[in-house]
Amino acid sequence: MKLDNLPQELDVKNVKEFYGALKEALASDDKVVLDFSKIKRLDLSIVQVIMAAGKEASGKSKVLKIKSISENLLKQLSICGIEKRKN
Amino acid sequence: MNEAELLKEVFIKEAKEIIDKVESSMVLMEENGDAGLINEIFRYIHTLKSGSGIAGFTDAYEFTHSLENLLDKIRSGELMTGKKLIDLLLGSLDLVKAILFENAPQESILGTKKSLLAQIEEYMATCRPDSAGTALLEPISDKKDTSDRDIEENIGYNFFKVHAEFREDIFESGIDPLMIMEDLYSLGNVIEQKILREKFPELDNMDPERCYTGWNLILKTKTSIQDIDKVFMFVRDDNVIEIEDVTSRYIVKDAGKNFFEEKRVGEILVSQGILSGKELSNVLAAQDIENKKVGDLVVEKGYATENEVKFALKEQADIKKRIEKSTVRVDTGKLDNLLNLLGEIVIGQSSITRIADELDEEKGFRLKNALYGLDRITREFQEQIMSIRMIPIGPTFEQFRRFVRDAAHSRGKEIVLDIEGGSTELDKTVIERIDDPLKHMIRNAIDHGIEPAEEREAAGKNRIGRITLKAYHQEGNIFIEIIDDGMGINKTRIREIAEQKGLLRPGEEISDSRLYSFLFLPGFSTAEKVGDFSGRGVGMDVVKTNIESFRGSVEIETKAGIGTTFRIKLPLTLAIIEGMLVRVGNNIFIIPLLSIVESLQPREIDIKTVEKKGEVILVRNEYVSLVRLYEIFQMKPVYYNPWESLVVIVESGFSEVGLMIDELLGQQQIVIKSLETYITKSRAISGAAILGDGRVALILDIHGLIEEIGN
Repeated sequence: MKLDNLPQELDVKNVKEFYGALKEALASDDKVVLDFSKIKRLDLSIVQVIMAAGKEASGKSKVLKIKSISENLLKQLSICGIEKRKN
Repeated sequence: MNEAELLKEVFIKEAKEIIDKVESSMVLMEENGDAGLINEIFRYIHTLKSGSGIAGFTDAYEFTHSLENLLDKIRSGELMTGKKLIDLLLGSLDLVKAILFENAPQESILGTKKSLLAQIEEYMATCRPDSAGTALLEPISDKKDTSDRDIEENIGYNFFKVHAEFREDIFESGIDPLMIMEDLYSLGNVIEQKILREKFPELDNMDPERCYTGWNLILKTKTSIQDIDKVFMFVRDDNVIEIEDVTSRYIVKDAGKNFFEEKRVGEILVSQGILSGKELSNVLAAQDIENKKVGDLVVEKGYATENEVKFALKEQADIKKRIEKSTVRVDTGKLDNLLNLLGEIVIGQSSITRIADELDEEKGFRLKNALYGLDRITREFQEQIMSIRMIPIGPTFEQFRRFVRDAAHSRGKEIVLDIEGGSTELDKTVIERIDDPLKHMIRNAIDHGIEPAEEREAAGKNRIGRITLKAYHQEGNIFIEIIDDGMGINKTRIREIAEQKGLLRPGEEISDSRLYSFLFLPGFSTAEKVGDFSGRGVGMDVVKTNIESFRGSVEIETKAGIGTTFRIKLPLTLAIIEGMLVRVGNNIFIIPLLSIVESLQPREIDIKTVEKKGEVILVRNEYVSLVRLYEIFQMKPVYYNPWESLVVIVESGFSEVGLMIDELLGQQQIVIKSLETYITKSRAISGAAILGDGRVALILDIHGLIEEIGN
């Protein structure tokens, strides 16, 4: 399932909606792809949800991917301890 | 006020100081392109960016982020500074001011922002664009330092252990811990990292609006612990933030003690990217043999210029000051209250002294002795409070760099501003009030003083004109000079206009200083044409009145073809003076001690009446105007004949008068109370004081009094 209608700014103001959407997506599909092509910035609340979702996906042998993520966002995730998997 | 509003308020105060410094540095950078300056500007913009983000000024945060990227290109040498780039930087700073301080309308901000970002983008065209890609993400295992702790590359770096744990409800105050950590990470290289996830819940159990993440890390950086601390400035109080300098674990310790002391200049040069670690090692090795200072060796070996070393030494001195002092912000209202209370203590002391006079000799003597001791403490207390209120005038002077640059450019002139004595300290209230008069006089110098470049060259002068702002202490006063090397003021022209206006008779002899003082009269202007800034003859009189309103005075010196100096004399403080109490009838006046030349009892033969000058008194073969204070203030004196009373000779500027009084009562320290709301303004009175017996004494303004009499 692709989550691609994400707003440009993902932060604590809309984290509840993001959280709800991601939970639902993971519950109903084995593969969830987040389209970050329009995302400029994340805040910690969003990264936490991604971390928790990633852990949940991993525990249930599901896949959580992020598509079109910029270098800037990768840097943000890396600060929180999440990195691009080397294939 | 809630937490978010308080955060914004604190940030705005900090931002104002930062922007003033950056603006001045940008103008200086255009003049001398110094590497130290660009690094300083970069750090300030970085701090401004962080603060904007944390305080919730998203527009300012985003824009300063772009500005920071541009500055990074300049400091790495990929972009060279020039007028166009400095214009862009200054214009960018104006936008930040508009966003933060001016509540400018959104449409105008957006338009300007778009235009500036486009210009920044043009300059950044050499950047590598960010690449996008698809990523499978995974948590990284905690980073561990595998570097050799003894290798040369660690020299010149600091290593800090940072522990950051944020409150769970931190998002509610509008703060994003990730933004803070991004700033921290941008200061160097994180060689060890552990993300604290002990509190992290399962996806189903998490409240997405709570913070569950913390950090333990080691940062390898060229910045100082103060800069690291600044990153957490707005969150320190309510969160667990620990910063520890662990550099000693990562650096080779040299046997010599000098390594760490001298290392600072070298370390600063390395942190500024001027010196490499290897070059510093070479210098330190040479130092062992040649026993010279690091700064000298660096220049000798061609690693850095003298200017760069000079800036590093200045930074070293600044760092030392920051380490030695810890400072706290104080509301000036609180200081004013303290001073008032001190004034009440002084009054209380006076009362007790009076009582001591009434006691028998032995008890009176013992009480007075005790009071002298108390008086010493009170004076020291007062000096401490006054010293808190004293701030250097440097930042006030620095803010004029941008003004001079822009004003000169708009006039098609080339002018630079020099500053001397920036560390001279004045009372905060005096500094606040001197701003406008200084600006006007600088405007005058730009408009009418400094010639256009071609004219200057034709006259054999340097094409770049100079305006110097100079401040110094002398004899209990502060002097501020505005000196230009322009064309000077035409003495003949002043005379012509003075005669036209009937201020002078043709051929009448007059001193230069008196002639130049006409320039301060309303409507008096020698300008051939009116400029945007000046020339209407309505400015200098306002400047003079302004300066006199806080017990200052201004005079002019000028030489045709050479230049002009405006010299302002100011009191050290507006709050306290040493005064001489004098009695006229039943009333007590206070004469500022600094204005008193001498006091005497004149002889009858020394009193004369001169046509058009009134009564005069002969003092040491010179006649001085006699002023009967009881007539000025319409009161009944004890003595009507000057030879029966006392005369106090007072001066202001070049003028002297003799004030006729009934009695000298003694010297006292006076805390000045303002009279504005209680009495109609009189130029002869500058305020009042409450005496020990509760009576009110008026404080004479000698300058104002002489002007009133002259009028």
